Amino acid sequence: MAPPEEFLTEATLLNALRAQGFTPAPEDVAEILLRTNALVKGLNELMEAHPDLPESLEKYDGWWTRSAR
Amino acid sequence: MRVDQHVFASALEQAAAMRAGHYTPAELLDAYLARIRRYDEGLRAFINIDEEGSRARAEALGAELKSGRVRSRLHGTIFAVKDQMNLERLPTTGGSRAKVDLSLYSEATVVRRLEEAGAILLGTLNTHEFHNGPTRHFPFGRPRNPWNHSRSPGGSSSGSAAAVAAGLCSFSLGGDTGGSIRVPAANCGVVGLKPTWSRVSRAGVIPLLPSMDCVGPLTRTVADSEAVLELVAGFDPADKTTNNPPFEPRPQLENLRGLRLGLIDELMRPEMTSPESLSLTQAAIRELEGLGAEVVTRSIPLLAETRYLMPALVSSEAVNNHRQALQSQYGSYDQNTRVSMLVGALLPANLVRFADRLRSKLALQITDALAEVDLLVGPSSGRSAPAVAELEPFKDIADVQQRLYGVGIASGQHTRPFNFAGVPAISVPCGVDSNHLPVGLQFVGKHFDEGLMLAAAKAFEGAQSPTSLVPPSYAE
Repeated sequence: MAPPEEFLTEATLLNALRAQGFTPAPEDVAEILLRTNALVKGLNELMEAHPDLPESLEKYDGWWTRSAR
Repeated sequence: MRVDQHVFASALEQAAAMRAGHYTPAELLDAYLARIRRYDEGLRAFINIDEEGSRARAEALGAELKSGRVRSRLHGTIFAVKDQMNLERLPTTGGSRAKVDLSLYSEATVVRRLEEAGAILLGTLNTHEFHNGPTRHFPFGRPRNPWNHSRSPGGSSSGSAAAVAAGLCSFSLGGDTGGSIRVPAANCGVVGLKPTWSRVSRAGVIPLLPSMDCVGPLTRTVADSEAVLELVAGFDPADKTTNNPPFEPRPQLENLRGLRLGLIDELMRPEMTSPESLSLTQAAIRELEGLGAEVVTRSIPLLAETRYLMPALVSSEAVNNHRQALQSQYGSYDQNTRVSMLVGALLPANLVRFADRLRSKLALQITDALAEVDLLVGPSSGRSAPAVAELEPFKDIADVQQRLYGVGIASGQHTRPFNFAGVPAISVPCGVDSNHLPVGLQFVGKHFDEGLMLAAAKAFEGAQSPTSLVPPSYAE
């Protein structure tokens, strides 16, 4: 079964934000919803396209503090 | 030499003129204050100006010059800073009406170092709110591009670029997490330098994404950027990440013979860069070859994917940095800022973690590409300064993916990758397009090798005619 395109609905979005202490302005809700769902979709597609990232983060994480030293 | 004819001179030339006694720091300050009164109501580059404090400093530094004391090569020059840096004499707003707690912030080390070197802090400069652009409603007025007020100066260091381009100060400081120095520099026709990550202290600077945030200069010449970097680089006990090899400027290059430059293939594609910006970049490449450089093509396959990675990383970090203020002062934030931060509160942790890992893979692609050449080069942005326009509401997910995250559309796609890799990069003007708007060429160096990058950029700049650009309506 194909996953649903939308990660959040308006109701689940409002619950998730209120649970974290945020009360978005009514005029913001539609844009937060669209931008979140679009970003989740894009990141999911990228994740599927890059299944080869190693489990160990040793090689990658913290590179910026070790590079060129 | 009259000071009012020297407001567009480089900071180094101004300092030399003051050492030679042609004018004083106070006279240079007065010339800039007069221009700010004349031009800044329309330009909106400045947020706050410390006229009294800067005048006192200018008088004192002028007296030092008269007595033979010269603190540095920039003694007596006038600078302003993006309103992101905590200051002793001026409030720091982050370009926002929201009040964030800065009580734990020390005075910004970069500003203190410049003042100790004899430069004079004039004021704070307009910015996208908390450097998290694009801001829709600027609380201190929308900054404009001095080349055309209907165009954006770019951001987030909008005022930093506009003020230098319009001849309102000798040089400025900006902050760059994904291109916030280089994009406005390109849009406004000035030089913008993002140093190697951790080369310059971020102590006292409001963060956006600490593992990518950099502070750097915006100047009228590459030599000025090098001079500023020399003064602000180096270890700062208040920012332990600065424990790095020292910055070593390279001697002036007569030509670029023996230098191998990698032209970034992905940035030269029509979906990423407009035909006119491509054409100006290709002309710049021919000039580099004319100077003796060997130019080869290099690929960074993941380059365009910052369109998803950057918002995931920045929004999830920003919402934590601003959690309390966002909860209690929601309406004080600009709509774009608060929406993007709340997107960060909703992203699944596994996707943010994935974004971080893919970012590291992109960074390795960049360091691999650099391993085979001396520098990478390419356009600083996809097109010249865009028109200032109201954002139409998004219709659906596909519309967001096209207009906000689209390849070649998402802001900073030409610059962000090099923040991901932590390598130094600089934007240098490379011409003016048919809309009379400047375009920038970006040089990218290896970690902690700003010296070679600046030497090559200087050689390129020296081959331009004129060597620096002045917006026609600000030339008087």
